[in-house]
Amino acid sequence: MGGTANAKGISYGPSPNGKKYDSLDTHRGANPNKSQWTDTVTRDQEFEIFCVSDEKIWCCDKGHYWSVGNPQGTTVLGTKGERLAKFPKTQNDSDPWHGYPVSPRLRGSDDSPSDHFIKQWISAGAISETFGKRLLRCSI
Amino acid sequence: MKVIQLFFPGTFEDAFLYRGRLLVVGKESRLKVVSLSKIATYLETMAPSAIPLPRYLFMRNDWLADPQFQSLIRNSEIANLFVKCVDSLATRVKDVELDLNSFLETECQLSATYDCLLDMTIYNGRIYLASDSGLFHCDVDWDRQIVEAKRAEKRFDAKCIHTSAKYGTVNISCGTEGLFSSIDEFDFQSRGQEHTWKNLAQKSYRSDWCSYDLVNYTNYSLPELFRTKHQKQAKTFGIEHERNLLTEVDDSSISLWNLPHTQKTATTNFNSEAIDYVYNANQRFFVHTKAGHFYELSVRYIQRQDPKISKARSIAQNHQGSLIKTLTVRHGAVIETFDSVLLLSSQGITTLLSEPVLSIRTFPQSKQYRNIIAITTEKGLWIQSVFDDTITSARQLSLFGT
Repeated sequence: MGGTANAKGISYGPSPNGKKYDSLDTHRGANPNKSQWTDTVTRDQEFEIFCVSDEKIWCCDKGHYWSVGNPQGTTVLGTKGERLAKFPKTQNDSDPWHGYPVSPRLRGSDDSPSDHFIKQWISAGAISETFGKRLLRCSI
Repeated sequence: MKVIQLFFPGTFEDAFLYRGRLLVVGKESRLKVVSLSKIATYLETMAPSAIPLPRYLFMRNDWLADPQFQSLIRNSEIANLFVKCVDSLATRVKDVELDLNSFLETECQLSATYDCLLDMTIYNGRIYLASDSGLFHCDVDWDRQIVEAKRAEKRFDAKCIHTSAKYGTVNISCGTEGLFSSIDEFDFQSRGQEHTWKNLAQKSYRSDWCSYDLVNYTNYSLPELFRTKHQKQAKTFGIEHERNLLTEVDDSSISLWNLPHTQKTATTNFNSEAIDYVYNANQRFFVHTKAGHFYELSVRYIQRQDPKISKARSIAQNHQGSLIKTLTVRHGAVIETFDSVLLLSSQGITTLLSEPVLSIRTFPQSKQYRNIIAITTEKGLWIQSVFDDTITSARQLSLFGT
């Protein structure tokens, strides 16, 4: 796949629905205060995770996109054990998107899609019932 | 430790053992009431050489702790025979798929309208269902030969993640909505007050009891202690025979980490950033660090003084990865990780199940089911009974006591 280096990281795109994406250095070790992708998730895979979310329009009512490494949640995405990825809504439609691993357990509902969204995910088979319930309980 | 497990394939959400029955909640709040006696009888038919163990293991764990039984197994031949029976039963039921409907006593619709059941408990005969759409309760007539469940009643609107109940009080943890308590839920104290939920904290993911005090987990690593007041009664109340009833919960709490220590030298100072998970079984707190170490702390109450942390000791090492839930059985701690269920006992760590689970439940407040673990997965229901096979050797002090 491969992206293009820019001042903030690596640029990718377009995604299936025409979005640009930046894999930011700040979530790749440059800023330890921000959540970090684990080394086992490459930048290319980070973009793929975003593409899945974009293709399936896993967008919550706040405009953020969400994704997972796999339906069972067995893929660890972040250095703190995060298994969920958040792609916050951009200010302008043409801005490149970015994302980072999140954990409802570590940061509560700020780092979780709504319950309605999670239940839709379960119903659609996007995530397993077990993974979904753990997200609803904020236990992972 | 030996683990004897029964597997019931099917689509279930949760299960609970209570008053001689296995209560299994399925999809759309469908309740199956299963007779433990029928299961034990069937197991005795399957493995006649193991009689009477099925009853000891799946109906009457209290018989195993009974002084008469303990006296009996001081005879090594009898103890060895028991362990042999356990092995025989474990081998016979291993990989057998049991049909839950074969042991069915009754089945009914609880009519609770939710999408996802997140927790359940049964206290004083009342079933509490914590769900994404709130808390429901359902009264059950246990005295009938075939139990009869009444229609579920909605008690709380916000999403409920966890419930705990004792001393006549029911607590619900509702995440960022907070911790709520219904004191004197069954009007044992005849206060005649309307049953309202007292909001104790702004965040809660779990609660449990530490002696008479209430522990609130504002996240999975931060326990806070609410001091309470209780009254000892001249008689007992309710199915659980409560003699001590809660009368009041303080409005403010104190972090467990801010409690004074009784022995400066014996206490490990935990950096809160290094803690992965904390849980308590009454006054014993278990701490799992991100580095994979387990520690045990005890909270000690000395009359007219604030509670103190009396000791901290390392109990196990090298379990990497986050814990999702931890519970207690007579012989140790049951640990849910992302993709397994483990038993941490004085004999080390034993794997109970190697798959992710929907719900897991133990029954430390019961008399009869303290060795039993009910595990629900997407494949079905596992009922496991833990048997301490060290009865054949010198009696050891249990790591976790009884």
